[in-house]
Amino acid sequence: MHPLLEVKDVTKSYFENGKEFKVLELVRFDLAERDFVCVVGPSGCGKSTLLRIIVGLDKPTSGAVLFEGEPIRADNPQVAMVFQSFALFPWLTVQQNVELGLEAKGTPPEERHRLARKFIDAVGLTGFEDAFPRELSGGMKQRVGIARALAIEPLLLCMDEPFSSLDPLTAQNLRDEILQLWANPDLPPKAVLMVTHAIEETRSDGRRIGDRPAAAAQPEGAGVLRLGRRDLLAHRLKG
Amino acid sequence: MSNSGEGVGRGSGVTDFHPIAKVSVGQILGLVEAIDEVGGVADVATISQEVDMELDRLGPILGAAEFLGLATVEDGDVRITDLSRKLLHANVRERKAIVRDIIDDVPVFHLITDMARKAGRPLSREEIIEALSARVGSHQAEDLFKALVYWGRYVELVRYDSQSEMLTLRTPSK
Repeated sequence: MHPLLEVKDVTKSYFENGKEFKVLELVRFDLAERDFVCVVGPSGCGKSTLLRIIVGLDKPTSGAVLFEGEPIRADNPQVAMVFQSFALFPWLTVQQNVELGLEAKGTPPEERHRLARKFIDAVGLTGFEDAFPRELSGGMKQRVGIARALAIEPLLLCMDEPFSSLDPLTAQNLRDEILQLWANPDLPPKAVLMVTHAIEETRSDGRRIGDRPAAAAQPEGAGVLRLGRRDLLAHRLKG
Repeated sequence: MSNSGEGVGRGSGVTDFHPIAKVSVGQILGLVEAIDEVGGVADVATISQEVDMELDRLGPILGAAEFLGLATVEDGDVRITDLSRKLLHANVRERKAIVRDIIDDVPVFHLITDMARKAGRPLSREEIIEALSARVGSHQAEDLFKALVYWGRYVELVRYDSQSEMLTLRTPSK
């Protein structure tokens, strides 16, 4: 039985004028079902590069990323992504934006409609199905992004700084409600990987895993935190 | 911080809707959550520091929370109410239902839903703005209309098609 995701000694270098710039060095960690893992670090430390490699959008210089034991592919429908910038289509309604991922997956129209409704409701957006992104607050836009990611019923959900373009209060509310949402084990995904620069988003009670070797020049505070089982996490944060 | 001069206090006229015209439900809930985390009461400066938001941005959100009965402001101390606690312990769907009860009591919101109910047909944006202008002046009617649509959609009492610019009533899903 393979872990859901294996990040195996991933190193990423860029070369300029024959000189090597190491962005990531020997990053190594696993993600199992029900894990909620955060990649934490200040901006510029390579978090987003790591995430791009993990979802198969970029190749490591050395090392590998395995999903269910196989090399990750960018078109893997079991992996969904939530973006910092929401990445919604302004000319599509909430419903249409959420259905997009399902359309790409080849889900028939009726099923698409049903699944989109289900996840729009789960993120608290029932009532806004016919609204366009411009009619939504920032927090609601990101809820659409989350509904769209969940609608494809992925095993792994990746989130790249999902709260950082929101004002602090909106971010707090969304964070709390999203964690509440994942207390329901019937909802996808099986595991969550979140990239964030804000240590408080991890509530700093995670167990640090997969630290990069001290030999590499790493910015202070960078690392990977396993926050715990997602269902238990929600209760702990609420309580 | 108490929005004096803005007609704050539920039931004192249609301009009551003002305090929530420029804030989102997420901001109000986030504020309530933040105050709860520091023990349910805090002075405005502490909250501002705690949530890392300037007073000029925090002010309208505090005003809205107070207006909706989710916080009281006294001598600079902001205290969350029993209604807030009810919200904090509710899930996403229950929260909507609680906010629905609150919004339904806001006179200007009621004005619109009443108008739609009596008309028995979809209302155009134009006629609603006209009705609102008569009450709050034309330059505020536009913002108020947007806010009514926003809150109305959130609590699932209003459906609005921004392309045909028609508003209808809906029955909440559960």
